[in-house]
Amino acid sequence: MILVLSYDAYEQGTDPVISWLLHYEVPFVKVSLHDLINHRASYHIDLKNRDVVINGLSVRDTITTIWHRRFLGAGRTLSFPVGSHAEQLGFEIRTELQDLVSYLELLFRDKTWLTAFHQIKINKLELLDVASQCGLRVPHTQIINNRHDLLAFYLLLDGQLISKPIADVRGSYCHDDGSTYVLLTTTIDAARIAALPEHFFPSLFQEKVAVEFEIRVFYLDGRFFPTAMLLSGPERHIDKKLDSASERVHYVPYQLPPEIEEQLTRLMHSIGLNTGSIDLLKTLGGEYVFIEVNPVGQYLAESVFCHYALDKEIAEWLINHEPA
Amino acid sequence: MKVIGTGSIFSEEVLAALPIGYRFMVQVHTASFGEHYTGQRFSQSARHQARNYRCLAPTKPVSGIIVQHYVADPSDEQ
Repeated sequence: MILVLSYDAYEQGTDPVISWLLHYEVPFVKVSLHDLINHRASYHIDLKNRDVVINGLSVRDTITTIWHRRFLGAGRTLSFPVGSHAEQLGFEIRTELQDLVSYLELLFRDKTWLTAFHQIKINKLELLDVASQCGLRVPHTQIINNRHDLLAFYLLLDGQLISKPIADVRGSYCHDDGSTYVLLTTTIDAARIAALPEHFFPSLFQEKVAVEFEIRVFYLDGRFFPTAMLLSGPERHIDKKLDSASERVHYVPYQLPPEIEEQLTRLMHSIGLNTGSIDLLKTLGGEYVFIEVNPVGQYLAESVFCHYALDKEIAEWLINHEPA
Repeated sequence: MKVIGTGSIFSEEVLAALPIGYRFMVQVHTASFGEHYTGQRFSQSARHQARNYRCLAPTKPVSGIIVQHYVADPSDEQ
């Protein structure tokens, strides 16, 4: 049986795949973090026998393939009405759950996983390092905590500089006035540098690549589904999220060169991922620049625009990896 | 996303302890911020085991239009 680990709230990448599992009439069960804590089922985890028993039934041998879409992130929504103790209690309960889930991963380690549990969090800095070792071109990147070194880096790059968060944790800050503040990739120019204090929190700065267009690649176990994001006209935001819904954007299927596919395959093997959404830039000079991989990135827009039917591809991958 | 401007919601005192990106946050209309699903209607689906469910319909018909440059043989570009 296929086990789907995802949110019980809306998660756009999960439901279309489940529709295909229903269509093919294959047995599956979806489990969310809230299922573990909301008394929806009675279960016990037997450490002596290394088994999970749900409603009296052992699932150790029943589960064969696991699609790990998104799971622990739902823990962020856990809150307790205990006033000033809420932060400490929330931390303790989330840690309890993390350790419980880590042990469940250990119990199910011999199953076939689409995104291994411990691979879901990628260190962007480490990833750039590994990508470079795999032969991919990566943007010149520095972590800097002072204005002097930042200015030197800015001059080294002929003023072509951006900044973005080190970790993939950017959120949004809603205001009552109907606006939301978001942390995106931003251009750093001389005026912005001049206005900074002498020292600041360590921040990621990166070469601003001269882009012809961006490419989002959905990778599934050695197969590539690339989508080029073409913009009519020369204007573009430095963060593609600001252009993604523009009427000037055209999403088209794209064929990567074989050597880029080989390098990306080597990268995905190196970091232990069998699926992910890869961001590339194609430069005005015709080079491909690697930016990042999101192990559980959203794929639906590209799937729809390019008719890739990625939801069907994922479902069929899960079904094909079930024991005969 | 519909951009209103750039700025920060944090005071200079707080910004001094944050990465510099928080000084240049992008202010957008909340209604245009897709991840909030503002105005979207959700249902439920027991079969999908989903508390919030949306039925997604493709928004773009098959066009048959291909920009040849972008599907050219990659080896030709070398």
